[in-house]
Amino acid sequence: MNADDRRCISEVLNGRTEAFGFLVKKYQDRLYNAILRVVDNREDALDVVQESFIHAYQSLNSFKGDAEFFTWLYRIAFNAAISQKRKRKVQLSLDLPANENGRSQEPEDQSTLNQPSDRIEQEESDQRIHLALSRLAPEHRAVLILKDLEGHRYEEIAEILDIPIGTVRSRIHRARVELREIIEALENKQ
Amino acid sequence: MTPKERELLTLAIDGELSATEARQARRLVQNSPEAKAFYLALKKDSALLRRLKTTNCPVDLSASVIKQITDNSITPIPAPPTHKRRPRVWYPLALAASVLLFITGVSTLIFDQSRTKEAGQGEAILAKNSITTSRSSTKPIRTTHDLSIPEDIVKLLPPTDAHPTIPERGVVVDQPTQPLAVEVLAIQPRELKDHPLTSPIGPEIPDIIPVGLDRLKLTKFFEASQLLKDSERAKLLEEIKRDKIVRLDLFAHSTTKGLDLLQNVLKSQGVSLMMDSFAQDRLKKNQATDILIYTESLTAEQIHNLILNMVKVDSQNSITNLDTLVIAPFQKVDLDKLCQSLGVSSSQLNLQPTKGGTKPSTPLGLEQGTANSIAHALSKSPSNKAEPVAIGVSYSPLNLNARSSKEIAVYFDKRGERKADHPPLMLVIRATP
Repeated sequence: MNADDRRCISEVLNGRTEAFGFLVKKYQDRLYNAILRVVDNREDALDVVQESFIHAYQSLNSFKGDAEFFTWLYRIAFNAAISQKRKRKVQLSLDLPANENGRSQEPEDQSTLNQPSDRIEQEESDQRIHLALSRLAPEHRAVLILKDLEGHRYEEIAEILDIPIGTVRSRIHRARVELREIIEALENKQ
Repeated sequence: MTPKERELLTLAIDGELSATEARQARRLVQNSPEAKAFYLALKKDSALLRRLKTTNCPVDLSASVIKQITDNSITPIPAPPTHKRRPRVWYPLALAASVLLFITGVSTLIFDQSRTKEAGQGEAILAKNSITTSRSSTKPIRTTHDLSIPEDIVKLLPPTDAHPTIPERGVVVDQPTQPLAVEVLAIQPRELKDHPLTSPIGPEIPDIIPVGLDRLKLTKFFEASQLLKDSERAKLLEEIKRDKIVRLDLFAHSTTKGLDLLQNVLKSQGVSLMMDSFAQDRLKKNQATDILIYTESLTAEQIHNLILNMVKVDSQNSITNLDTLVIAPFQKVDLDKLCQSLGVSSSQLNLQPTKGGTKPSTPLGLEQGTANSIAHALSKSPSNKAEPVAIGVSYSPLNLNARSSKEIAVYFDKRGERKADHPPLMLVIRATP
């Protein structure tokens, strides 16, 4: 485990609550970015991340220190995000609501219209992948985010999500195939 | 494309393939345009995902988290008490001390015994030589001691003035005597006769027995994909024929598939494979297990054909399952493992071919210890007619129920007597690491 994290945790456990602020500051951006992709909603993402930090603080005594602190934190946050997403089931994104064409209804940033065409194409493909990602099951979304966005290895993903490595393999496979099918469907509609 | 191939390509995107899998994936992409298109599309999706903009947290959560913690007086929940035993430091110390004490005690005892023995030997030699001294004084190493007779012994002796009387000679008068001297011998050096270091070099030196290199048997590895080549096939047959008991390890990516393939090929050769229920259970539950196949129903040529047919069928798939075949000499440890896996003793297994006589059939029921099974076993006449059968069991240390396996009992009932040209075959299908 990271030495700074270890020191902070021991300080928190010795009664210095403020030391926990350092850990929050250190990991909030990374965690928020990942959780946002899972819950697909800024407010929900903020709630999940904040709740995860508080839950981590409460459970700090049970953190054994044999894994990285952020791996443990990810486990808490991803479990919370997946269960929240399951509760809400099919909820249209407030950030990127899709119309019947699968295109974003969010007002377009006028500045992008002045950019070269490849930039626009890139933004379109980004939106498409974002939309496709949001249509995946939360479990599939989580593994893809951890793999492609966060760059974790299968073993780490298995540890974060607390599932066997074989399940990680099969979930990632199904997620990729499903994502491809959604993207193809979106491309055909256009 | 099969689902397995699609999964292989997904794993290739993530760089989570083993070397063999990577080779298969590369071959697949090169040979199939569909696979290539699928692979490239997945790669593109993955790249797009990686390229997605990162979104930082819009607010600094540290202040609000700390505020929430202090406002609600949240404290870390104490961890549940763990019943962790304190490491008992004195355990190893006590153990070390007792070992030391034991060694000291034993060595003292041995030393004492050896000293007593040496002293005894010394005294015996002394006594012997004290007798021989008077007769012969030609020994080379001698020391002289003045021995005076102790007073208490002197009292018991007849008075000095009393002269002994010899009837024929009358009274014997002592001659003036020299001081009594006893010569004590030191231990003589050992004489080494016919010792190779001391004896001269002569014709007696035994001949050096030449090592029969041609008779040495080493472990051989055959890559499954290469076995269809004529040269490799010939080598394989030669290796199989050299063994009285054939020991093969067949590495496969999936033991289940490997077993299915083996079962089909055995069937085509007229041998029925019986699978032990424990192994079947493990295969059904998809638990990783190696499978041991044992049969006495194949000749060396048939074993050779069995392997080649398996490789042939396997090579027709786009993704091959069989990886490597290993032929190793059959060792004592293999016999133990075989007996353990089949739940029989080596005498029950009886790997020696019968010469005209009948093989003593020991039904496994006897091991169960029930009166019924004993009666059944005793009333049953040994079946001499061998059926072409093979038995498959889990090659796992967890397989503890082999003795009570019905399938194994049936196998031993059916196998009958083994022909001399049918070497026992122990084949283990293993998962590639």
